[in-house]
Amino acid sequence: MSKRDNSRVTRALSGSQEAYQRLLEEYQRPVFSIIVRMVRDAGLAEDLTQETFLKAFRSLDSFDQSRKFSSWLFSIAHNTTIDHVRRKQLPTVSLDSAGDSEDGAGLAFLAVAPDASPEEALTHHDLAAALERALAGLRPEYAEVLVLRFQQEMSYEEISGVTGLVLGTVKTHIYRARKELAAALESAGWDPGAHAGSRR
Amino acid sequence: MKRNLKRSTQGWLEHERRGRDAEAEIELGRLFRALPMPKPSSDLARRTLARLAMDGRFANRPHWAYRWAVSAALAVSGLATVVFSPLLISIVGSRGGANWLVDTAAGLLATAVHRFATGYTLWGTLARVGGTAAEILATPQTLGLMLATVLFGMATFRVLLGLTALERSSNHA
Repeated sequence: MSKRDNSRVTRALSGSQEAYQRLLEEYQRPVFSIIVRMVRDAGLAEDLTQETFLKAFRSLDSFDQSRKFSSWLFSIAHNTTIDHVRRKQLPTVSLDSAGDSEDGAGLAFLAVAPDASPEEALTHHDLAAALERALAGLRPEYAEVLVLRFQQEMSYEEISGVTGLVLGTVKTHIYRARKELAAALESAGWDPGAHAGSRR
Repeated sequence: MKRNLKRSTQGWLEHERRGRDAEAEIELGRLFRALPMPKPSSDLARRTLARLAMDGRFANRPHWAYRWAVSAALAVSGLATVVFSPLLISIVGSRGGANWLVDTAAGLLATAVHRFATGYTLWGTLARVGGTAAEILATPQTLGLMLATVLFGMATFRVLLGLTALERSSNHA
């Protein structure tokens, strides 16, 4: 666990509002990022993110400070989301409709660099949107392990600790998730081989 | 980094097709890091903190505020001691040393005790007089008696004025 997190947790336990706020600001985006990829609904993901933080902060005194705070928090996010998914039996979203919510909130975060040319911006946005759609088409647990592994840069062992899955299952999930994501992108026209140049 | 998104995607898909797992993982990592991370609404932290506040999880005042207050008080006390000690010592020395200081302090203490005792006695006497008067006045009978006395006094005064006027007119006549 980083010294900064350790200090914040200690101060939060002594009632410092500022310490809670810092922890929230530091981790709300990674937690939301994992959850929204699992539930594919920005509003619901916000509710579950808030629930995650409330659970974490209410049981902060039981947190073992020799562990990484992020891993502990992500495991709470995982359990909260999986509980919700099991309760609600979330339907699988088709690749065509994923992210096309009425308010466009699903892919609203696909910002483009201000220095990008119009063509680059279009390619970037299309590709990012295609990836998000492909991610949304995966099983929630596959999307989760991909985000933990490749966005949060966690080791297999850490992912095992967060998800409660055995190491072999984590590796299998990541392998299958990668293959499914690749297949989804290729079927969407982002194939570097046979269809190279067919997309912008 | 954004410009590498397409190249990373194509590189990753190529590695996947050829079964190069290690390279595919590295390239997919680059691709994910190039993706914008989803962001929750800006008031999520505020709403969560408000819920925590309702739980009473925050101390009324943060500990650091007390620490700063105590530290500041100690610093001021220390500074005052350093600044005023030589001054006090020089005054005491010019007045005749420690005996003068003890005599002055004892005199001040005796005066203070005497004044406190006098004030306390006077305050007690006045309080007793006030309390007794209040008890007497607090009954309807006393109030009625006082009103009757006042009315009787006014009537007597009026009769006295009438008699005086009658006597003056008879003298003039």
